Amino acid sequence: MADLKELIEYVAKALVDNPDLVSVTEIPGEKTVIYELKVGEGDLGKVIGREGKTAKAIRTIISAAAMKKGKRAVLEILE
Amino acid sequence: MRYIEERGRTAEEALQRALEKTGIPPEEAVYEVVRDGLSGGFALVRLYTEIPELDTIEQVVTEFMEKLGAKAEIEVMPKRTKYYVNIRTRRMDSALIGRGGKTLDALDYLLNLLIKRKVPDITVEIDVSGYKERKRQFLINKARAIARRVRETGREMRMDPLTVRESRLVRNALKKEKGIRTYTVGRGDEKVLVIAPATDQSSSASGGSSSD
Repeated sequence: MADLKELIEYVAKALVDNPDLVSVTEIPGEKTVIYELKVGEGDLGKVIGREGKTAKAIRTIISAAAMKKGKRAVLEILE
Repeated sequence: MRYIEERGRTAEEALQRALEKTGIPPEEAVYEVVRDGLSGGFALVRLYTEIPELDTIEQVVTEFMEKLGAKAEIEVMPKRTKYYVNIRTRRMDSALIGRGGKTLDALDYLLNLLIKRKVPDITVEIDVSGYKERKRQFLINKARAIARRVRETGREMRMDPLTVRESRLVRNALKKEKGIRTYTVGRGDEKVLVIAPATDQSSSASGGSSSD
């Protein structure tokens, strides 16, 4: 089974300079699961990417994986 | 990345020679056909003997797929300037490709980012069960069919909107086609490729067409 929380954590940790400051909280819902991603101060740009490209790519992939299970996945990047 | 090159009458023969020389078992061979020898001359095959980047690529992609919950088979092939990575899954292929290849594009972008963090100077092209290869072939076949019609009818025809990369692929594929020319109209994202009859009766006389 896909573990999207782990996936987001894995991707974020690989991209940032401070992997220790990465945390993902999963907020389950009936149809929609929300993932809140927190990173260190200077690392926000790394997970968002130029023109939001990285964040968009992560969202596209978790949506595809969640859809397989008939759910929706939302990624919120917290400041 | 280390490799040896061997010649032969056919690609198979050249590969066979290279395998015998290196003692690499055929099922583990990572190779590239440099010349297939089909249009005369010899065949040339490049067999890779040592590819340190391969392990990194495989490891990152495997880990990513595990987290996605996809049982995946991963095949990495070196190409001229990048690595072609073909991912095959049991039931996730269509989800990983997405509508019009949208999810695949995201995968390609993200995996490139992750791999570049580990080995800065390598680029990978991610594919799922040969989807991109098939799409490329489909586009080329379609363009050739349109070219044929243009020659028959003497009227120009438009291709459906293409990305920059697709447009380049199509124009390259049509370079050797006689009796037609290609040009684009519009600009930016609105660019449309037009296939038109060649202006001159003899395509060799005019500029713009390929010299062969």
